[in-house]
Amino acid sequence: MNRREALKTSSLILGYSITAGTAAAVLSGCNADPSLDWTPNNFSTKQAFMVAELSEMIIPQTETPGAKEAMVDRFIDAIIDCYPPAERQKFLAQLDAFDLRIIEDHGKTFNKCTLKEKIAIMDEISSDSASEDHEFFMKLREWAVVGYCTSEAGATQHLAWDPFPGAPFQGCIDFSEVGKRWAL
Amino acid sequence: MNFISKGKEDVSYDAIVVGTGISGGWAAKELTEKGLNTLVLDRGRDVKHGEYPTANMESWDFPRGGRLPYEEMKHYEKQSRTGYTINEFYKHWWIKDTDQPYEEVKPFDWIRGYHVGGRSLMWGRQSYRLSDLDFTANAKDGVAVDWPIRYKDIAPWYDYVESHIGVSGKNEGLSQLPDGKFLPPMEFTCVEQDIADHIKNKYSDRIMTIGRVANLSVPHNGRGQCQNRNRCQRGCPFGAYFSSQASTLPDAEKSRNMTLVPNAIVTEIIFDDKTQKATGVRVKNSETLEEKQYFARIIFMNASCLGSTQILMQSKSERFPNGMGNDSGELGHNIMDHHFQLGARGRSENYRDKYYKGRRPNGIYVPRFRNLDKSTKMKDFIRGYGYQGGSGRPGIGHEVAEAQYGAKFKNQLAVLGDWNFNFSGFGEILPYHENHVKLNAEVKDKWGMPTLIMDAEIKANEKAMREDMKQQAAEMCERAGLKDVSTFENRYAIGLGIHEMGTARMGRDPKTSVLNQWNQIHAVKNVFVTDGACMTSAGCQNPSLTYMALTARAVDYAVQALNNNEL
Ligand SMILES: Cc1cc2nc3c(=O)[nH]c(=O)nc-3n(C[C@H](O)[C@H](O)[C@H](O)COP(=O)(O)OP(=O)(O)OC[C@H]3O[C@@H](n4cnc5c(N)ncnc54)[C@H](O)[C@@H]3O)c2cc1C
Ligand code: SF4
Repeated sequence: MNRREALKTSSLILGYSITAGTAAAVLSGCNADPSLDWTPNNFSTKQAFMVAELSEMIIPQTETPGAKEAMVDRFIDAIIDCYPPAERQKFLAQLDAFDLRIIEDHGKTFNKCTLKEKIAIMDEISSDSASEDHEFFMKLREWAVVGYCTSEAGATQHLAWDPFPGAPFQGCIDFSEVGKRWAL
Repeated sequence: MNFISKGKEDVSYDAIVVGTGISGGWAAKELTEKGLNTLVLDRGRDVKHGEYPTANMESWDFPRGGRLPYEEMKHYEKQSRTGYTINEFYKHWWIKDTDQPYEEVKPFDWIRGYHVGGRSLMWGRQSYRLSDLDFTANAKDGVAVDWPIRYKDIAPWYDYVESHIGVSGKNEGLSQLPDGKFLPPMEFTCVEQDIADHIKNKYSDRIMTIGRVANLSVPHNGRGQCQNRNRCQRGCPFGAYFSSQASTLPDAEKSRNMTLVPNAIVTEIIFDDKTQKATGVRVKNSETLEEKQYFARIIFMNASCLGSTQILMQSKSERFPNGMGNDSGELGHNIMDHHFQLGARGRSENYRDKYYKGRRPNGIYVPRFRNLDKSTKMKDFIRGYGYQGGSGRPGIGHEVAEAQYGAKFKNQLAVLGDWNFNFSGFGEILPYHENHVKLNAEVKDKWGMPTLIMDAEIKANEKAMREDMKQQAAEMCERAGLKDVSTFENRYAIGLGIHEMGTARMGRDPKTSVLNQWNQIHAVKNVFVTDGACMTSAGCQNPSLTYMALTARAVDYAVQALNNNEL
């Protein structure tokens, strides 16, 4: 399977919508990191890009926005502040350990891996509880989900959003009238 | 400004109200509407109706989705024990424990907010009447002292208060939970209706009704209708739930008889030995630390149960070496709350094709069904409990999901799981003399005021009741056909119910109580205490409606007595 086919099949399986731009970037192997357009509190620039990429793998753009558009990376950078310093450090260290391991195994960073490689990595760390990165993945995913579901893009586009329900409260309507889970 | 140079007239009023929370707002409204020139003091900052900084913010307008950074959280070690009070949505409504510490001989949760409006801004608005089952309970059981009033004394005041604040609910004709003047009830969800029907069919001793809640299901008294956003604790721009800001303080202001002074920490009530009356209060400005005195003919204490108790304890004189009105030695004792944090939950496999619209700021209620009469008498505990709770419909949860990441995983985030349901018990705590608070002269708060030492716990009666609360909740879930029924019990310490009460109780005998049947201090007739401190027993109903009714009743009496020159 060549690269283009791999891209196509995995995008079908995983439902990644590959826009012309991102596809071109992946295919051409153009991996120049742009500089961050926000200032993290806890992450290094490298960590920030990695978290953004991992989050987007967890919650990809489909017909609704993905983690990147929902700025889940910023959310995770901020949510870390809610934990005691030791836990904060542990997560950042896990992030670095993950980075090192990927470089060792693949000779490049996670962000520079091909989609196929990324999928193999994600499969391992998400499903194999023996993986040394599993704990890190679970924590990252938990935060990504919370960040996404409370983000404007996630809450208003991926979930059902009704800021002013009005009166009266209706306790028993057909689900089809809403069609998906309420954001709140 | 110094009162001496300005002359006593400038700082003299007909009445002083200490505190502007649920009970103080009522005292202010009633006193001013009856024509008394009233000074209303609150130790906190002013908050005007509509000044609710987060009311229209969405989760993404807050960093961290609303959670506080770890370092900042350290200021709220006790205030955060509820698990829901301290976050970016409403942290500005709570005190910092680092500013106002207290000592715990046994674990005690004192959850409080000091600003104009007090906890009327953050309360849960559940509003239930006490009944004669409650007012006669101590006398019947030989516990503590008898209430000096009965239901008929307070009933017209419940009517009056409910009609004013607006309580949505349903009359059920129960003697243990009297009917009221309600706005239209809110709707059950399908699952709740189903469970209510099952309970009706399978039990003869109990029912499940919709919560009685001080939210306006229809527009009321010029205030807007509830929009079902369930953001009440941030403050409601529509004034659609009862708060001092939305209701009683604007009324008091309209009367033109109110002088409201925020940032005024009342440190002491001034007692005059000659007249054996209180003449006024000493106040410390929380910003400038300047001290000042104000004078009035009558004083209403509404600084919250422990707030008022603390002030009375600090008001020492030759006549009252142990705190004003403390001839009985009961001041600070008999502290009660409602014990909770336990119940049962289950999952419904029905109504998968049904959903709800709106975020109803209310739940269900199962009125007390234990120890009502001979047939419901329990062997191992007296008194009883009610259940609050309700249904929800969460997502499927990604633990059980088939995909761990990617588009499939993402789509699962929008997929509904089954309906769930819970019953959460709220039980009566008996007034135990040993359960008490006292002043700590050693440890001062940020403003140099003595702090409190708490020494209280639940005992055998409550513990036995708790077993029954869990067991009955689970049984009802099972009989209602719920699946995966399990009981739960989380940490509870006195105070966590945020229904502190009883530390200056009403009674018939000055030797065993602090207040009489009109909430007057037995020995200082022009001081009225009408917050939770006055409670002789706790019932198991959320208490604030009773504080409001007792306040309106006491003001009515006080103004008559003033006019008759009896005070
Ligand atoms: C999250 C939450 C949910 C609740 N849910 C319910 C419910 O569903 N139903 C129910 O019935 N009750 C509920 N309560 C309890 C309810 O809020 C209290 O019973 C009620 O607010 C007590 O009224 P209060 O007037 O005695 O005191 P507060 O409302 O606490 O007001 C006291 C006021 O006094 C002021 N003060 C204190 N000390 C001084 C001083 N030394 N000098 C001057 N001013 C002072 C304070 O600043 C404050 O404004 C809930 C409370 C909370 C926090
Ligand atoms: S739920 Fe109703 S009362 Fe509460 S904030 Fe919303 S509109 Fe106001």
